[in-house]
Amino acid sequence: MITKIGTPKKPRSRRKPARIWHLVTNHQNMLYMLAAGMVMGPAGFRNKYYSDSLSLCPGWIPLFRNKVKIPADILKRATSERKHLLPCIASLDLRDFSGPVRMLSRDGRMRHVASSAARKRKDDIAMFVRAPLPTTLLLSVNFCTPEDRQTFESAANDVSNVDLTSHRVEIAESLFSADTEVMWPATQPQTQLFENSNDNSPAFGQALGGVLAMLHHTANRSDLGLAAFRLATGTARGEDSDLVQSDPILAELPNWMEGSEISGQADTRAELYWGVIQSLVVAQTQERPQSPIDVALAYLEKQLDLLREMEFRPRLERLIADMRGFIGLGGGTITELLERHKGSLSRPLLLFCLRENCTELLEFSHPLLSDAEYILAGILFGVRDSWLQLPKELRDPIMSAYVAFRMVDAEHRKQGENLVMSAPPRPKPLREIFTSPSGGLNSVKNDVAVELASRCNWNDCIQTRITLEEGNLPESFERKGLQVVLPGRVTTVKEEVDEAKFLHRLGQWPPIAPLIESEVRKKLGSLQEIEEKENGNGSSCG
Amino acid sequence: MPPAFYRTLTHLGFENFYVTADQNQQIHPDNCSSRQDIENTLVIEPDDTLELKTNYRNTRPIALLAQHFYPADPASPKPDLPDLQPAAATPELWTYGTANTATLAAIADNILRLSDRNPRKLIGIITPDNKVRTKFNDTLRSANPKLDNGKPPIHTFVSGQRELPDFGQGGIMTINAQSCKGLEFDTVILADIDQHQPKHDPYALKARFYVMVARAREQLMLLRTGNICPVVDGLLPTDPSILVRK
Repeated sequence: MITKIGTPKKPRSRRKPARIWHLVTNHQNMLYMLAAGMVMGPAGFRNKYYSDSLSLCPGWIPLFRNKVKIPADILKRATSERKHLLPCIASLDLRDFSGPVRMLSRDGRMRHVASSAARKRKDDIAMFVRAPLPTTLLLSVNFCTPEDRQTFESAANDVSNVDLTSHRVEIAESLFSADTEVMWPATQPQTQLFENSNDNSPAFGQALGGVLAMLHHTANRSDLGLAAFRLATGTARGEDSDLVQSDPILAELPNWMEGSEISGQADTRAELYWGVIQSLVVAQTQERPQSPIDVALAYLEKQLDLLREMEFRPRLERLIADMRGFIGLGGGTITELLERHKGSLSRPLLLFCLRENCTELLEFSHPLLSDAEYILAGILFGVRDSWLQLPKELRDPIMSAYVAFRMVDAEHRKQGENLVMSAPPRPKPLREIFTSPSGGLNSVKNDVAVELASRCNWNDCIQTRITLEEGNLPESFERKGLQVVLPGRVTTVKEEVDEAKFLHRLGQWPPIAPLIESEVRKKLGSLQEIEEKENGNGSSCG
Repeated sequence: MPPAFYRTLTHLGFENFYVTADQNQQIHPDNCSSRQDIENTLVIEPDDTLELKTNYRNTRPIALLAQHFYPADPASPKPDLPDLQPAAATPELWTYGTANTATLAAIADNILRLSDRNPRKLIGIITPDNKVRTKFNDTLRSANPKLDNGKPPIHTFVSGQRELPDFGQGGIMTINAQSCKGLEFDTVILADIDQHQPKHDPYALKARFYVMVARAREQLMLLRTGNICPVVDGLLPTDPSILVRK
């Protein structure tokens, strides 16, 4: 996929008009796609798919033309599998999307069209776009009746991984008045137009989404975390690459994210770690589900016989034994285990068995864990949970939009497809906003930091600086209850944050309440724009 | 509840109520009503009985083991297997107290360490009778292994106890099988499985294991002593992908 980079959105009046197309599905499939961040073929639903228009040409997304009645058979198909399914029509705005599509006419003829933006013929009723597409293209999710919409919203509330706040859920009865005269499926199947295009499970894209989310959350914990996140989002600064390269396993992150093999010079630990990651991704494409811990253990055991460095073997054997041991009733305390196994291969793998999901990892901290070990654990957990399993608390709207785009981008690159889409802005961790390249907090940032610390009750990182008149430096001062009495005159009294303590607090879990974070970001937003203009950096992604 | 319970309800004039039940989950078969009993007493047409098939509690490996003990009563259909959760572990069978195995004290230390590794989780130890319950409760209380977070709360509950334990916090709770119906724990340890009764009634024994296994949300361990009981052993699955022998 080709990405347009760095062009800020035009004001609404100057933007291209919306190009609306409709996807016909049911409310359960819609919920799954919202959780997955992508509109995809049946293979992406694992065993949760209910027949709808997506199974017409698996791997291709049928989109119906706006203001043209949808064939009755298609609407019927979407709810045919179970009684409780509700018809749902998702409207997508493809104004910022182009790429080769298959166009379908009323009489069932299909033709290849080089770009979805090309002029339509009068009798065109639908087009097929290669899956997947990001849910950021969704303009609205439509239901026929208020009751259907309410049922859908209740169902969304019952699951942990769907957040409807950034989606428009509407009632559009007119969309559901079907055309009974159009035969469907098309009477003249033109299978040659869909050759060599299987319906693939987007397992790599989903894993990448999970990793990006975890890197975003771990970016607030350390400079290394921030460097890894910037590297993963294509916005690395000079020192970021050096920082990440300092750990031989983490150094391979960019290769994995590109979908490439790890480098030939990678050491044994890196080979083993990224081998586990690859096994976990492959396991998610298999029909028969396997426990990720079993997948990781099976891979590591297989590697025992293939190790080039024989001195590594006893360490790996011990690691495998401990990973097995403390899943159940064996093993020692976490401290004992971390003391027994050092390094950025062993410790992330131990955490993999000790904590069950990304939230539990983010809640966990231990003084023996290094930044690199924690980040690598985050990557493992991100792959294991994948974007699909992440709860609402770990997916804010800006990150969700960015991740949806990156997941789809990765899947299309893998398929060699040539789709063009605008990239949403990259999410910025608070640590990045508070730590400018020039170093230190300027006055505006300091004020916002003090306000944030105060609202979050991080009193340990707030301090008060009293500037005295020149020559008035007292040798001692008096303390009266809660007051400090200084001799002489002061010129300024200013509250500030202790930067190290403040940054430490920023990285702790649970994160700042979304409302407070949104207000802080708003205040810092304008300042950030000024800084970026000064540094000559546009908002970009790629 | 026995059929008389439902008859009493109707005699008392109750008109609108619903019963959520699983005929396969029986600790005291003599005190239970069958689906047929309930339908007859409350005059419910079979088609009006709603069958709930989704298992929201157990992980897939635990549900798989529970299915092994499913008493196969067609009146209450087998629930669907849940999806595989990312960190779901296969249930384990441990033997202790023999020449080559861990002592009870070592098992108690390991239970405390298990709790220490994830202090928010609630571990339920389900015992066959009061003797085993007291044995485990006392051993856990006297154990003192090195832990990262201090000793977890250790509770026990016995039928008739006035003060109900707090199931909302982590720690370890030891209860008898007779009291476990309706409860759930993050981790369940079935203690001294060889001591469960009634050994002469395989259906009732299987039903009891079905209930006990289904208490576990995430993790399940079975403990047996050296006094291996052929009747109980014969009930256990031999497939290591369902039950791992440690």
